[in-house]
Amino acid sequence: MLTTNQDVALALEEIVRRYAPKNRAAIALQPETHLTNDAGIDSPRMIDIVLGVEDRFGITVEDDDVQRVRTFGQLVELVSLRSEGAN
Amino acid sequence: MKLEDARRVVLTGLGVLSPNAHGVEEFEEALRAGRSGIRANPELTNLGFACQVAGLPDNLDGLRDSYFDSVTQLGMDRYTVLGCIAALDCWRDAGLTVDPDIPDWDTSIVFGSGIGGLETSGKVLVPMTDAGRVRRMGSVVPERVMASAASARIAGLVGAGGQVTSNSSACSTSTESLLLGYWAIREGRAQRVLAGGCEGDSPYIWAGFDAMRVLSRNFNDRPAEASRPLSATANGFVPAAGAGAVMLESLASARDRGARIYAEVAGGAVNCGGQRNGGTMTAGNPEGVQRCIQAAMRSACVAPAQIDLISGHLTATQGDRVEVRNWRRALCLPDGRFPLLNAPKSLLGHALGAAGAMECVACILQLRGHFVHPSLNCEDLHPEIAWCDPFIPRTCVERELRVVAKASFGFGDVNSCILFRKFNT
Repeated sequence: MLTTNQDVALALEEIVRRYAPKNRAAIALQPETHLTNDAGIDSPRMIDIVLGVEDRFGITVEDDDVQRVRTFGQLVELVSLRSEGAN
Repeated sequence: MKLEDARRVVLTGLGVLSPNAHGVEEFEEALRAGRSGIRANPELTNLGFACQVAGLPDNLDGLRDSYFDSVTQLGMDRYTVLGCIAALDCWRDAGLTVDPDIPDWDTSIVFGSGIGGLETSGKVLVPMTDAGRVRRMGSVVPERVMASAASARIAGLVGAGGQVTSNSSACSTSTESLLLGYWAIREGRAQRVLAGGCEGDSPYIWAGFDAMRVLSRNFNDRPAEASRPLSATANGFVPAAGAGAVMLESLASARDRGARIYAEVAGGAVNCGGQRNGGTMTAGNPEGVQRCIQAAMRSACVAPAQIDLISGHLTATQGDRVEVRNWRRALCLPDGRFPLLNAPKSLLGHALGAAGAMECVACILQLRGHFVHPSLNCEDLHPEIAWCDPFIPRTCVERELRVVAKASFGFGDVNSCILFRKFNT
């Protein structure tokens, strides 16, 4: 069971890298990293990331919540929050 | 720059991924050797197809992984993978480079398919929709199944900045692609057009044809003998997958950048028989075919006697006899005179919308290499066309060629015919 934000961040890093363009694959994912501008994740790929997150954490993430996510840190926060709710 | 050079269209790059070869050198060698790309296909056997043989490029999964990273692959149906491999090979063969930042505003893409991304539709789109799981489908289905998926993906890979489009006209598709590119350059709308076609290797693509009883079914135990154009024992076409790509370029542009020139497009034509006078959705109106061939010759200013080789459509169906008769009537040559005639599908099978482009690549290689590839499996020529026996090579013939004609015909009664000429300055 993932209990800390750090655990969530590590798992999310693997999922985000799966969908990042090759030329951005090596970027360090920090809390302030902008998913579109820095990591090259466009809105369709964000949907695939969310599906990956749902599979990995056994949660459902609402579309409205996803649309508010801009940075990697916000994504970690959202998933952590949902995971706590699921637990 | 001479005005004439801007309107002459030459071929400066080739790419091919076919059932019997990958790449220009390997393809030429396979053509010369008369190597069949048809194999037993256990998947079709398991699915209960009457046809259990097919022509598939070797090691497609390995090639896909070596050409495209995993993120790029997410958005590609298998037919797009085939097309992009041939297109990238063609781009490199033409001596062009890819700029990561600036589009190539002078290059267009016309890359077609007869069927498209049916593998993705069959395995992802339809089952997930029917199961009420649309929310879980993921984001890539539209870019995999849209009719322009191949040309759009190629454009991104090479950075094409001209017109980017996909045409579709059944089995006439990719001969038509070349002509659309040829006309775009002739009209001054592009300096270069990467043209061609691709077709995937999915049973979903072939099932409807098996259901129509038009696929080969009597030679499942002898795959290399299954594709039998012109033969008395022809029993339907062998389904195949593949892709062919050519770089069409204005002579002026080719000269400016010192590009190698394979051959010149002399002219061509497309039309439809209107599904009248014998023409239907699945059969050609003979007058339409003959008009198309004659219009192509007029456009190229080529007389029938100047054609050295016909690369036939010749699928190994009943249409073969009608096609040969149409060529004879369209050319109207004296008895005893006829160009050499070969059937590339005897080696490759029938890759539907990719067939024309792969076969055009074969024509260009024969023109450049001064050879005529053999037609396989027609030792027992159909009696109705016995007269053309002397003109059909069963082994590779070394011969100087000046003009080669390629025709493709498709469902819908659509026709295309392109003439290639040896390049002379």
